Amino acid sequence: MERRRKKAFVSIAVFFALALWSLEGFAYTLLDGNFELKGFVRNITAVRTDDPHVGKGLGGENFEKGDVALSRSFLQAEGTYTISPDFKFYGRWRGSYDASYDMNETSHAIPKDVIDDQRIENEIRELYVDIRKGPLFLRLGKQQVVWGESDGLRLADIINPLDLSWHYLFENWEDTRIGLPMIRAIYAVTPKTDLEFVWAPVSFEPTKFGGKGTYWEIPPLGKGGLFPLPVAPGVVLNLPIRQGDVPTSMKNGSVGGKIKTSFGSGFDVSVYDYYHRYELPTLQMTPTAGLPIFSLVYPYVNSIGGTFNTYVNPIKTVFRGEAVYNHGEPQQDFTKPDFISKKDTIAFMVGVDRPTYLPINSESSFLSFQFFYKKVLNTDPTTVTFGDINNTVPEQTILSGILSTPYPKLIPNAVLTPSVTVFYDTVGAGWVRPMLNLRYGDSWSVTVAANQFWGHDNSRGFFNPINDRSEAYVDVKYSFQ
Amino acid sequence: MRRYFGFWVMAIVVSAFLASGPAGFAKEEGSFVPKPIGGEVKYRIDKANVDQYKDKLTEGLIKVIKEWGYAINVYETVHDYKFPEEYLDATEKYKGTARVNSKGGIENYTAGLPFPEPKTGIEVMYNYEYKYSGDDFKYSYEGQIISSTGRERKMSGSYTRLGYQGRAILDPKPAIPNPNKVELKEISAFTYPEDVAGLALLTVRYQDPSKGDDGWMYIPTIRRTRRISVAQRGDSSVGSDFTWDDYRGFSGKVSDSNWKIIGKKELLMPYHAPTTNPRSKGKIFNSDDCRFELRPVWVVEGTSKDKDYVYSKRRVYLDADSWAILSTENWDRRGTLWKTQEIAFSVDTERHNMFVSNQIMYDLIGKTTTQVVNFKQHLNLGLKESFFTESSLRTSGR
Repeated sequence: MERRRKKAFVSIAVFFALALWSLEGFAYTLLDGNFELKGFVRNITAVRTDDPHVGKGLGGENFEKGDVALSRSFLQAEGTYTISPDFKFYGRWRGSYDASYDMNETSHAIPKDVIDDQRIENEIRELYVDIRKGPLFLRLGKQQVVWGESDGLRLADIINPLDLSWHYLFENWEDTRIGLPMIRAIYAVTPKTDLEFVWAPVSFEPTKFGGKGTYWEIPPLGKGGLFPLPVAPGVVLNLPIRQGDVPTSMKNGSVGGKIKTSFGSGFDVSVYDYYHRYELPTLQMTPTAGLPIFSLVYPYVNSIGGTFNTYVNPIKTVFRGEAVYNHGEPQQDFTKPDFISKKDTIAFMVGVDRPTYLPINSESSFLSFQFFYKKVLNTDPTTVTFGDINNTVPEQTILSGILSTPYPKLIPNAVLTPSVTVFYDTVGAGWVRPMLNLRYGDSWSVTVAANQFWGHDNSRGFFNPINDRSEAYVDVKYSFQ
Repeated sequence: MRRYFGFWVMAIVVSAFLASGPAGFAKEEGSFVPKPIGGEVKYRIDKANVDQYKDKLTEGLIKVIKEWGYAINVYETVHDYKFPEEYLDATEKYKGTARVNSKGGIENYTAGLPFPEPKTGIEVMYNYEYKYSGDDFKYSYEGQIISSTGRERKMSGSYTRLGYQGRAILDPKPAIPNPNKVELKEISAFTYPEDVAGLALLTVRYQDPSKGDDGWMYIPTIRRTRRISVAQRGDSSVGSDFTWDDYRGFSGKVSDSNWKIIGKKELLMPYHAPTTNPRSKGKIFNSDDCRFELRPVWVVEGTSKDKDYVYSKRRVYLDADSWAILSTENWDRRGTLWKTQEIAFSVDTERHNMFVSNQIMYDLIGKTTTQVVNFKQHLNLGLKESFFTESSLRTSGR
């Protein structure tokens, strides 16, 4: 293990040396300024601050308080090649290495294929071409498409799945959304109204969860997950759960459309319909002559919804909201032969944003609140569920708030921004993140923050399964552009 | 090792590409290129002799010369700016029709200079608002924010504007028909530093003074457009010494302040900038790259109607020839002179326009400055309304 730790530190040092070699203050441009390349090098290191709740099936039990949950170094480059204002290419590559797998004693308990999958990343995250012809805009290629009005919630923001395998939801989602090859078309009918069409013809990717034994696992999801099958009184057989890979095929594509318009001088609304595979897994049991087979599957769902936003000048407040009706959302139901039932669900979010002058700062502070509610329609009280990652709770209410206040003059040549984010699930669980970010000069960003969770073991909701995963972290980033 | 070979190859290749220097900025075809008008320095004002000329200098400029080591070179005054004929014709045609209502809004304005003989401070400011600056225009800018310790942070971006009213050159004239009574639409896009690169802010300003600006911002890290409140215009713009209301002298809503005329004077003002890219000399510009002339200016003071506004008072100095703002001073809430700004114009005699070559904002209390130079300036491009939409923001970002 000592050799592995040395290897880890040497790797981190080489990585940073490599990145620092490319230290320069400007984007690399060539082809008469038509090609621009920029990027960043970054390290985030997180330490667990809670004792694990052993035996509660929450995962991460091998990691003690004080263990390194994450020590990931990134090198990212993005390039834009502009042939004309109506024709340009964009690509983004990211490489990363998580040294925690080489630093922690607990890594010996993690299957080798899981470590190989999660320790190093080498990925072209996006690669697409933009074409404009009059009122028609096309984006073709591997991309992210974001609909909706919510912060930290996914109602309409369902087109791209997320990679939750290395820091759950606590990154900018731009950095954890999984890009998909898609066709995106937006047609401006009038300056106020546009039609949008999105088609991912052949590829489906599910939400990625941390593999078995990793700090980020949510059992039994993720690579290496096991289903505890009781075979006799007091006897449990742990059967492997197949990942249910969905093959690349026209039969597994997703498609949808949206109309967006504005009423009067500023009431924006949109309605959409998106037919897609549900990106969160549902456990399916397939009986055989011998032992049953357990798989994670992703049935199709039709999501119909709408959004709005408006600004009310007399109170200087932005109101925004969205609602969605999901037809055929899979629910985990052990009374069913295959463990799955399909229900309809409704969810909505209403949010308010208001920059406000507070006594703590001469600059205005950003205040934002959201109210979220989701209900499973036609709930069967006899349904026995397993885990709540696919939100099988019959009702869910979450309140959230953000306060952020910048100090551009407190420290010479820097902007200091403290902020706090709170999410509260009315089942009695939640998350608070105090954060302090310092932007120094043109290129440096240092963030010190903590993710503090609370909740109950063996209870439903989003935060309960991770209520013992509190952490503190430092995030250092150097950008070159 | 073989398994990670591809990762390390990519990392080395990418790092090699990134190990490079600046490529500079290309002049865009058709953009305005100022020509220095030349001339000899008549006299120089510095710390040693500034008191001799104090009746010709603003209070803010005196402080900068005395306390910051600035010196100004004074040249012959050249009056070469003239409005385009179409604008002068419109001024004559609609003379006497515009008026200011009880809310501070302008009514019955069609085109041209609304108040050729202004009687009140707000009429002077509406002359500034509707002076000829093209029916649409755009430019790029670069700047540095210089801290009290002399360290620099850079910023860059672009600004594009479409005027709906008072159109003199481009069809439709004199106004773009719009039932929502839009005055103008503008897009501010940021390209540097990294934390704001890719941000683009669309602001819609209405003729009705009781109707606040509407704003949408495309934020690349969340990959969507967010409706925002642009009400807090007294906030620092991207951490600089400029607030959102400070650009080009004053970029806020005229009706949001009470204005009064202090007087009409002859003062030393930056004019006919010798270069579009003055050299920095620490926190100030190199004097040899600046040009001052004795100019007739209107002096107007404004106080915001918003009790929370960052400035207790703003004084603006407007060029009597062009109605452009040449300098400003801003007082903090305690009544202390806090900031002063110089805006150096170049005169485009062909297209009858005053282009802002550079601006500098001095924070006299915090001892910081923000220097901005503008380039790739275009006028009357025939920009379409479809560019100034939320949809356009959405599709211009990554």
